[in-house]
Amino acid sequence: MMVIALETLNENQRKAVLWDDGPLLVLAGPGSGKTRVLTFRVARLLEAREDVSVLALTFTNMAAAEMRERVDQLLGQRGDRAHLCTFHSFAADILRQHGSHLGLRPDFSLLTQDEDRIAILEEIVSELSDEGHVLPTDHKNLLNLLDRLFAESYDGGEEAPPLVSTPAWLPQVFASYCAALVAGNRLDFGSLLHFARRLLQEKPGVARVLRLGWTHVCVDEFQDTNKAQYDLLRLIAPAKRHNLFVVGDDDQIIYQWNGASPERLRGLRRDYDMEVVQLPECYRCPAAIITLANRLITHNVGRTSGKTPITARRTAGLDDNVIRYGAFASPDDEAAFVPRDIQDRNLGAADCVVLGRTAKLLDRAASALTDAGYEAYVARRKSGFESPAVRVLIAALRLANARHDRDILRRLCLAWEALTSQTLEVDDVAAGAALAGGDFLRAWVDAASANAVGRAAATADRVRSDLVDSLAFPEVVDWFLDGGWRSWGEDDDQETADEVATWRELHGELVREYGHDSLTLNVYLQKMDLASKAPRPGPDAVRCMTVHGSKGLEFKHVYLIGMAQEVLPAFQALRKGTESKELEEERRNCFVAITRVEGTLTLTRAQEYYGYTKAPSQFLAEMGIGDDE
Amino acid sequence: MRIASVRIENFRGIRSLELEFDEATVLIGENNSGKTAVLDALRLCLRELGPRRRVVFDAFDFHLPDAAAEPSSADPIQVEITFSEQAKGDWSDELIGRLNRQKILQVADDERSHLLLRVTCAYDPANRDFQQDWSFLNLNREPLAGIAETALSVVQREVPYFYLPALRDAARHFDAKGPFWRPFLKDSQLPVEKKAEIEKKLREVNDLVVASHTSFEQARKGLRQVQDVVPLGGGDVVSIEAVPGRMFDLLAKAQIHLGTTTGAKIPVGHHGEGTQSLAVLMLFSAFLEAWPSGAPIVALEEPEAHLHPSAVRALWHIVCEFSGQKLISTHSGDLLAETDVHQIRRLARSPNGVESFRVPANLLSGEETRKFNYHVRRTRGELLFARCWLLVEGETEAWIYPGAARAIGANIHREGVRLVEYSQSDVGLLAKVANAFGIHWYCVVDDDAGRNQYEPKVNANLNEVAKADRLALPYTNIEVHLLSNGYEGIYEPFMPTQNLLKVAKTRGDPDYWLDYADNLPGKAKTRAAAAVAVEMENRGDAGVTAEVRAVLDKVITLARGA
Repeated sequence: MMVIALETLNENQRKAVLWDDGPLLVLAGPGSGKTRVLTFRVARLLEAREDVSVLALTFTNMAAAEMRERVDQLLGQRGDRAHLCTFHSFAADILRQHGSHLGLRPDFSLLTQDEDRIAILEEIVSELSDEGHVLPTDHKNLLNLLDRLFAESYDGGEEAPPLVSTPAWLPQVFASYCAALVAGNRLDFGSLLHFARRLLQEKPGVARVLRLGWTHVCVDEFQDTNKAQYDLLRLIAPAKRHNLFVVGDDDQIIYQWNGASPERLRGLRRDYDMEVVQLPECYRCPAAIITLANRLITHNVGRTSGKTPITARRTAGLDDNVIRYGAFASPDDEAAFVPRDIQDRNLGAADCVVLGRTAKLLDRAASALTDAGYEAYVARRKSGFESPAVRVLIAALRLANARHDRDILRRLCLAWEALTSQTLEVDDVAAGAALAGGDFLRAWVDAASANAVGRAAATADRVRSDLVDSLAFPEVVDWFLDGGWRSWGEDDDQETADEVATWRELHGELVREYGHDSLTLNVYLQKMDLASKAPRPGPDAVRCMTVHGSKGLEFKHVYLIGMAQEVLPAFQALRKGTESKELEEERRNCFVAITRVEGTLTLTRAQEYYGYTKAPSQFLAEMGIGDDE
Repeated sequence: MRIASVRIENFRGIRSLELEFDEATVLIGENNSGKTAVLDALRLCLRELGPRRRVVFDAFDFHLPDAAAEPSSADPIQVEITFSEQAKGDWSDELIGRLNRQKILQVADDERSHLLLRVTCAYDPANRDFQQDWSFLNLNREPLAGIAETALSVVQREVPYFYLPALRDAARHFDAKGPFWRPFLKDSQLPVEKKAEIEKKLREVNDLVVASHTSFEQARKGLRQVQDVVPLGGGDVVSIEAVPGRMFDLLAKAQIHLGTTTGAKIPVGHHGEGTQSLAVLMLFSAFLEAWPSGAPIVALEEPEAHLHPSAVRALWHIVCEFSGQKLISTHSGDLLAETDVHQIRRLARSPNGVESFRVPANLLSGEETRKFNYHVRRTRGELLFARCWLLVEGETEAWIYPGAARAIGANIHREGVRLVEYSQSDVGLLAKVANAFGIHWYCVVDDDAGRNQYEPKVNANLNEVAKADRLALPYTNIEVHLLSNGYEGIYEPFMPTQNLLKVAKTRGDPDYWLDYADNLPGKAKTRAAAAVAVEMENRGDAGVTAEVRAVLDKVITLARGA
């Protein structure tokens, strides 16, 4: 029997947790316990009512995993009436199950590398150029444009909404790109949402069974929703009084560049008969921080009207000397201050985080930390593994899943060369395959074994026995992660060891979710593609993160560096004007950064950056912090 | 949720077979034609199936095409079961939601829901063992990915598969461990209305058992006479309780006794096998009603076993009342007599393995269906079990051809040949039905004026078979043929004198026998035909004309599938 401790909730939280049917918007300030509210409500509904099934959509795998874990704790087990996942993973599920209506096979693969997507684009562009169109030559930019169109739910029409004027060739490039994805049974991230939306629009029967499957829909971090995600949501929950439970905060929109917009919350309130519950009570930050945050954010005029100021609800804490501010002559001085200060204050490294507006600032802070003898962990997006041993096995798995894919064969040959210095020509292997029934993996193993000795021969043999002669999956991955990789991991090869550890964690999660015997290679690869391969920080590392990367997290001690005009707020935003929506987003960046704080906040700036003198950030003054303090 | 179709490959005698199912479907076919294989394939893939890799097949389930074949080199077993909505809305919203959450539901463009399950099993030389896997498919029959093991159990809960094999041993079923009996024994807390319902069912069992046993009625009469000698009390004191009517009796004993009011009680297992069969079927029916679970699929093998023909006819209606989808295999013409022809699937061996035949929905007009029901189904359901129909005009041929067969030592029954008279029916309809069911046919038509009536109907149903393999025109008239081939003496006693006087031609005239036959009264023709049949048998080989022999040779060849 589940115990939901309703008495531990405040009045607003309780109202949200006890919400049954109909649409509700929960405006949840930072540290207001929104994940707790969301998971409590899901667990309560599932237990109280047999007729309820809940789909909860999040933006990050991490948020989905955390919610799954919390609901599991509350309910013992989730059963099949709750599905907590990201928008992308949900779209992939729909397309795997129902994609045949659009010509997709259930075993489609995901394109995670830009080079693969550009290769598709190049082919299209060259065909169109032959027909006389004049297209941009920068394909990387063209790719960014496509991503933008996907995010804005562009449907191939003559007017592309995010663009001032739509070039004549655009609809055709877009249509050809989508067609090439279907023909190759490969999708990229943006097209996952595009095809899921099209499927539900064009096949009302599919939309119907989806709605029958999920009676209640929740969305976490709604403010991050782009148009494509919102359109998908509208198809899953079309009724004005749909059982839609949305948690968000317009003060934390920091993904405008990715398609998020304050307009989305206004649209939500227009499309649904939303009741609103505000959760202004902050359980995370000391009162002094909340004062700063409230002062800062009221400068944004585009906020939801009637927004209650945040109130401090922290019961215990070290509220002395919570906020400190320092200015330094140069960025190097600023960076060097951080490790010195951590040492002076005798803080635990893992309790500290350095936040900055840009990755460049953080690199400097990280090297200063390293120089001072600290372990620095720079969080970054990582979509693929990099160590040769891991790349070889992943590429072999991919080729086992798509045995005629020349691109994958090429990547396997490159990884093998990096690992063993043995060069295998893609054309030679492909020619060999033509004689052996077209199986690229078999041909590759034959070629690799022919010249390999020692550990290379052993690895090739393993691929032969487990992926060519039979499909011993996931056993071959178990073998590799449980020690098979060690013959390649030299003592000083931290990269391989880290990547194996990251993979092992992902592998464990997937085996737990699907069961050892039910996990098919294809789904495994799709799920791996959706997951971040960034390593977790070590237990004694000082984390260095961008403000965007810190979203949803909390830290004891925050060093927010680079508090200067044209850094935070960023140059591009300032150029748009002090009243611009870009500047408001910069302010929200600052708001998000300072509301990560559980203990102390240290704000720093240098007099100059990149060789130019920079004034103190206007946000310092808006928060009531001056150079004299 | 019901099975719309099943595809079976390389399973036992089946090389490749696709079958469509209705609410109730009757499988017919000779022994070893694959009926049990179909029911077993469904049982293994719906009831026995569990974790993907736990093999439910055994080595001899693999199709072995020849004597040298080994299971380890056989082609993979593959069974695909399709569940479909007949119309959008057949399946409850709740069920559709649940199946979609398992990521296994499929929706067609007409918004009907489908579910496709595939089970495969093959020998894996690397492991030297059989490897099994199951998957759900999309509408293009591509395996869906990312399906949890629990998806299968969701389906199995929704469509529990019950299988009652031909050998219904009541003693075993009514044992405290019997799967349908145990719940009744265990559940002593039944609500009153449930209990009343079960008792009502049990009384029906009793009535049916008693009614289907003429011996019971005789016993009752005999016992009533006892009353004349020994006073026993008022009213009809003799009643037969084949099955106890009260829950109390059921629960008190682990075994049912069929007894009489005289006190003589005999355990159900000691009764005749027909009674045992019925008792088990009715117990099963009671079980389904008392513990409704999803939409069960009930497979019954030869439910007619050991029953009197009239009990078999009653049985069909009882089986139809079972909740859920019914799959019945039968060898009983009496059972078919009660079945809609569209529900019948005839399985037959061919050089390609087992094939399935049916009468498609719009093949027969309403009038044709009525005719078929009247002339074949109601009275001669067993015809559908034949391999070849010899279509003959009337009663005379119906006497002559079996007699001729006996005379030449051919056993047409064993060859699966049945005679069907068409003059009262419709030869075109019979040919059409035979074609649909994959039954060979051969039609004998008199080469006289009547030919114009029948030949076009034969022609219309040739379906690319050579006309010579469907139509024989051996003689202008069967009587003339027999009269002119040495059987005139048999006809003489049946020819009334005044009729004989009307014969104008003189003996020796080429048309004498035609004139003679024209003046034979109808009754005389058939009576004489019966006598000719006996005489023909006596004369043996020599007594059969070349024309009649050619017809028999042809139907036997057709029946053997040449």
